[in-house]
Amino acid sequence: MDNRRPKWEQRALHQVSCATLLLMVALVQTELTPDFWHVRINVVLVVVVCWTLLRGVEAGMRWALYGGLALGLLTPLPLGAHLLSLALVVLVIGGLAEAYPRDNLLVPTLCVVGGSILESTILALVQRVGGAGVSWLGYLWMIMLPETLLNVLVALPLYMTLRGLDRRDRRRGWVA
Amino acid sequence: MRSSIASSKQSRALNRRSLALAAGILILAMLLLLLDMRGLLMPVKGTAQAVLQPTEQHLTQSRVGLGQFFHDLLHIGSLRQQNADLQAQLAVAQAKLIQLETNQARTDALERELGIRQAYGWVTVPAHVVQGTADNGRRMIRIGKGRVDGVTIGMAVIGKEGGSPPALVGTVDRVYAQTADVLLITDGAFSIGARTTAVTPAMGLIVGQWQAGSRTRLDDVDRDAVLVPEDVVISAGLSKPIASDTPLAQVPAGVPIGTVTKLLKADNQGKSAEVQPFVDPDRVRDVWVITGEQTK
Repeated sequence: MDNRRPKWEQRALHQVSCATLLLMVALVQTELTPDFWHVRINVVLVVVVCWTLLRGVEAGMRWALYGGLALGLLTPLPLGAHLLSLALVVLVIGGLAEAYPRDNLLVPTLCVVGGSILESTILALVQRVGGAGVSWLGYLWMIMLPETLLNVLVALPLYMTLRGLDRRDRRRGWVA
Repeated sequence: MRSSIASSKQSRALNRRSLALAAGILILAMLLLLLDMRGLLMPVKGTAQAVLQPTEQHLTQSRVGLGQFFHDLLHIGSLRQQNADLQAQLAVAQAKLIQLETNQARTDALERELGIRQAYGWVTVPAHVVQGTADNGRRMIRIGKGRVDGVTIGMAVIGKEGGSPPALVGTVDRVYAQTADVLLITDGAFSIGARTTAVTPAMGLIVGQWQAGSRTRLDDVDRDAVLVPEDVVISAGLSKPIASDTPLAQVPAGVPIGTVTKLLKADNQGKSAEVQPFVDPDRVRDVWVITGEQTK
């Protein structure tokens, strides 16, 4: 019997804390983040991508679930749109980045670039299915590229912060 | 050897677990998407928004206020110039007002005589902006008034910015119990009948053009119509007499939209022009929903 394995109450509490944290990140993204060129930084996406790189697909999926639901409740897009895009980003990033070293800071940067493009494309497709007109060239220049650039700017500071959090958890033995 | 096999099995088990979780979440996402597109999750979203509304409103108003402060600080030179221009315009306007008051009695008599007097006011519901544009792909805002306040889909939402006239900001797109989502005039999906205020008005469609670079565009204007820069564009209220049951039929005629800045196209197919809205929908903090019209 492994005594270090947390009890189910502790695990449940940990998940509630994660969900609350992601709701707060979503609130910061939708209400507080200033927009540049009419585009906002997708903080939830960056956080989820970084966490997937640090903790793997399973942990990334849980954060995608909480972040996706929080954004779904806060934004006008249909509930499930952000969840779908974030979950697919976690799957792709988790699978592709498996072979690359996490200490190389180019990896999170490139993953945020790929994740941003994939997420924007999925959200545009969802809008298209929902009946909204999407001009693809305009969308590429006015939304996808500026958003990717903004996300890259915050990728490394957020990655370093989360890596510090991850290392602390590992030192305390909270993570296997 | 044994531990290596065990570790490998555990790793595979973890992979299987991750994939099972991923599959579950993807199925959940698709299900939620489907249900919300059919409008079945409106009560859930409405309840969540009612709970989060005070926090959202507080944060949004703080951000917009702070943004406005820095904007003013950066543009203090142009503000001084704007102030001087406005004072000059005020002097001209006062002179015109005196002239208009003199002509008012004569105009009233003529209007009565022709039977075309349509003096009306808008019945409005004031609302705070609870949330600015939150999704990068859509230009939408959320306001703090909803179904319980008489707001319905398609109603016009107007705003005011600085010295601008009260002008169209967008139309109500989704309504929850205590909040509503407003599709801004700059969104690519926005489209409404409009006309210029010239003696022979140019009729057309105002479409949102933010995604394509400019803000709004007046499209489908007849090739023979006169359309020049500085023309004022207002809502045409075309849907009302044609199809009163469509949501956009609730937008009354005569709601100011913006001014023509440049002609984009003029050929055998017709004309189109870029229109600069009177109000920047992304900067408004307070809006009014036009819930009806009252006859004086």
